[in-house]
Amino acid sequence: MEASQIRIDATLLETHKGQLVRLIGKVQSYDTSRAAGVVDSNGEVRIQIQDSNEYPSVGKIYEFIGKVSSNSLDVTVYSIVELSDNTNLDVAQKLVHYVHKVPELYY
Amino acid sequence: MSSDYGNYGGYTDGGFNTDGNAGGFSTDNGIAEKHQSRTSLTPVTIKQINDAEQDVPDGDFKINQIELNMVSFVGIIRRIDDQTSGIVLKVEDGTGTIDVKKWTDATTSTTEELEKYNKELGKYVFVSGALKSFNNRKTVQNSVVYPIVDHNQVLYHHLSAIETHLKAQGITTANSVKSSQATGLFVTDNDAHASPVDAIYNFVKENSASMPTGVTEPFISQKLGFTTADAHKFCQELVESGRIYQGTDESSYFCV
Repeated sequence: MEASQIRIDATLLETHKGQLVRLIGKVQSYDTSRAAGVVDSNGEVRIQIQDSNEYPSVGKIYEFIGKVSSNSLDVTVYSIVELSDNTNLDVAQKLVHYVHKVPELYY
Repeated sequence: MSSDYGNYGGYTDGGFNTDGNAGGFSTDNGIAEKHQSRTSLTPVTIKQINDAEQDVPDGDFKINQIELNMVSFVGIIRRIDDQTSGIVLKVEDGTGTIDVKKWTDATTSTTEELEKYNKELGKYVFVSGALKSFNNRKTVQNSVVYPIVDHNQVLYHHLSAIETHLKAQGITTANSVKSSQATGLFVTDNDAHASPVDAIYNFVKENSASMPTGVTEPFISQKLGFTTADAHKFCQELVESGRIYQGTDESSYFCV
């Protein structure tokens, strides 16, 4: 976990292909057999979870740490952290917006 | 001018000088300003801590014009190391990693502390403490660590770290007003929806700096499109509520 990750949302997937990222979103659907799902983070993000011991519940909010695939916009997730249900996704979106204005604080 | 007041030491460069050196931050006055250590809690990202440098050994850490002494940050506990004198938590927030040392004392044992923090492994915690350097590694001492239950705290922490940073970069008032409106987080009104009283308040605030005798009523009514009577009424309201102050005469106002 020495490497830093950049906070993004669905709108920034395209510009962060192949990079380690962190995104906050609400799980819309998750298929345990394929370890894949869809997360709403200011738009839809398809995720694939590496560690089968970790699986998110639909309707809950998580922070996902993973890598954006370089040829599709899927995110391979290495770690998930459950966030409280009242986490304000609008604020999370604003944070993503501001993080990219002050790179000296983040990456 | 300065020499007339030489006896006042550090105050010679006060705000009322009209020469080019005015302002409290000039360094060429030859009088070392007594350095006061800043002890307020500064919200930061771990990257800021790791990038911070000391001008003098054992001095305060500095990063982008912010002095770091007591810092607070949010992050996820990734590892807990057991050391005889205490435990070390490795906390990470996506921008970097830092060691947080928890000493044990007579009332706690390492085992208890380990047990307590093992439950928080992989979860978000809020950490505050004093930033210290030990063997060229930065650690957070005297730390207070508690689990975050409401994760909006994580978001707000980052936003206030950004705010603190931007203020320290000398972002002007006008810009900060704009940016706080743009966030839509802290300010719910913007100019279009602001009440006339708020519009006048903002207007007086913006113009106070450039109008040393006060912002006049005719100027307010003309610029904001109020009648003089309305402008007077709203200004009186603001004066009564203590948000603006009377200027050199009864129809001009200041905002501090």
